[in-house]
Amino acid sequence: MTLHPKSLTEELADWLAQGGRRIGEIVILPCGEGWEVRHVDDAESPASSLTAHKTPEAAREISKYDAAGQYRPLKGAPNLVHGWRLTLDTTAALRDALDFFYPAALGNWVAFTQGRATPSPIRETFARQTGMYRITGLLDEDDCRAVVADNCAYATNCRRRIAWPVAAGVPFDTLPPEKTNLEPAPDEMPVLCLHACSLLVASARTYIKKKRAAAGQ
Amino acid sequence: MADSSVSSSTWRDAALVILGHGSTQNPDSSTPTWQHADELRRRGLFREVQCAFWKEEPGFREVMHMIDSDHVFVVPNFISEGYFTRDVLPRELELQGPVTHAGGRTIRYCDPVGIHPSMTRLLLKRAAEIAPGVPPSEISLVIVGHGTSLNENSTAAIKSQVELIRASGAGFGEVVDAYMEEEPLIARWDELTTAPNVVVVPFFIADGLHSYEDIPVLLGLTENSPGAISANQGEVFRRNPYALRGRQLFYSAAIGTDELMADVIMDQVAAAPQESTSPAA
Ligand code: SF4
Repeated sequence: MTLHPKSLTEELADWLAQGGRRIGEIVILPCGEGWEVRHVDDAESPASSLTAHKTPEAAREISKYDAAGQYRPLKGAPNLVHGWRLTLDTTAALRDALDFFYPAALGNWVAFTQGRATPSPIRETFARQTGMYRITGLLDEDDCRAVVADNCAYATNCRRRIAWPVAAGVPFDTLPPEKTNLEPAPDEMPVLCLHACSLLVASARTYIKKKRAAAGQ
Repeated sequence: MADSSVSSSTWRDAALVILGHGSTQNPDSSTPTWQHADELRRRGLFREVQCAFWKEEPGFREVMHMIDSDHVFVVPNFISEGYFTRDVLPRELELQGPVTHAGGRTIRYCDPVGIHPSMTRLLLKRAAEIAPGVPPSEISLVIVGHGTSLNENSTAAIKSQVELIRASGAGFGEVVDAYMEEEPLIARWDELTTAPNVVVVPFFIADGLHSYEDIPVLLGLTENSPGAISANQGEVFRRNPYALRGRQLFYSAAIGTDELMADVIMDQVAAAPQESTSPAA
């Protein structure tokens, strides 16, 4: 038995065939038999003005540091560097490159749209932490809203779109709409956040420790 | 019924998922994990090879969405068994035990790389490479770990490697373990060893603050100037040998950066847990 009728590469090919072109800050342009990936701001730039790369692994290096040379542990951060182009001969190679630019974005989106992914409510993510992060289980619903508003802002911090509620049956309705819009423009694949990242969990720990210290606890 | 399906022919239709700790601060933390994945991808043994991290992306909870295969081998690129391999990884991957059946998929959860006996081979190779031409009998080999509860059972993993190397017939003058934060302390390396040449190998998965800076300071290779070495990163490994405290000291990069770690990952795949019962139809 095969788990899924189509491989992720075939799912990607279908999306491209239907006009899919954008993910996060990148744009995918047809190029001969294959594809060329660029920063969306560089879509119209002359090819000669961009540094050429040819392997999927180049995407890992391109996305590792921002323009100021700072490490980018959060790949959804809207500070992908400009000035490069990545040509890939096959859709399989494009899939690998996408997984370096926006790790798991393709798989998350396919699984989510096919009903095979269950996002974790943020309070559940916090409640299952152990060790030094166990304390995040103490965040109440308003604390969760505050921490997410501070850390996940779409325009400045992270291009992932939140697919999780605050708690079961309590949707995240306090965020700007783009942060929770899981169906953006038809040519864009949303970069979904199905489970809060470790940066958010770490921020939640700092938040609740400060709050408790201020309350004298 | 015993499952006899775990073999190299199964690998070709299966996914390998390598799990690492990663870091939101140190860009070198995940580098060895990616390099071993690249190497195993090049070998073409598996249908697909993916990595996932605790502190980087992709996260543990999303990596299963990135693969097509029905059979998955999961290898923790961790130095020891402990909190991560027993608590965090099984929880985040929603594992049911050594073998998990979920969503039509079979997931085999292997032991972490650091506890495989073949780590011995790497340590011997590293020692030979770093002090070329020096007879082993004139070398004290020091395997250094963090110590204290922070690195969980890394102490046990290191002690077992020390025993294995002593028994290996490699002929080192002596082989000792030492730690940053517990006895025997690496800072006393000259008291712990007697040979004229001392080879120090950090038993860590990746280079970072500990191997770039903390251990060099404890060894006395450098002054305590935070950031000075990190700025030059690998520089401290290129200045061998150091003439120090009347000895010749050779300092190695973290053992986990060795390219042969890809083989240790394969050794753990080959030792993957077998099914004790046949999966439900
Ligand atoms: S929790 Fe999700 S949306 Fe928030 S910063 Fe992390 S990855 Fe981005």
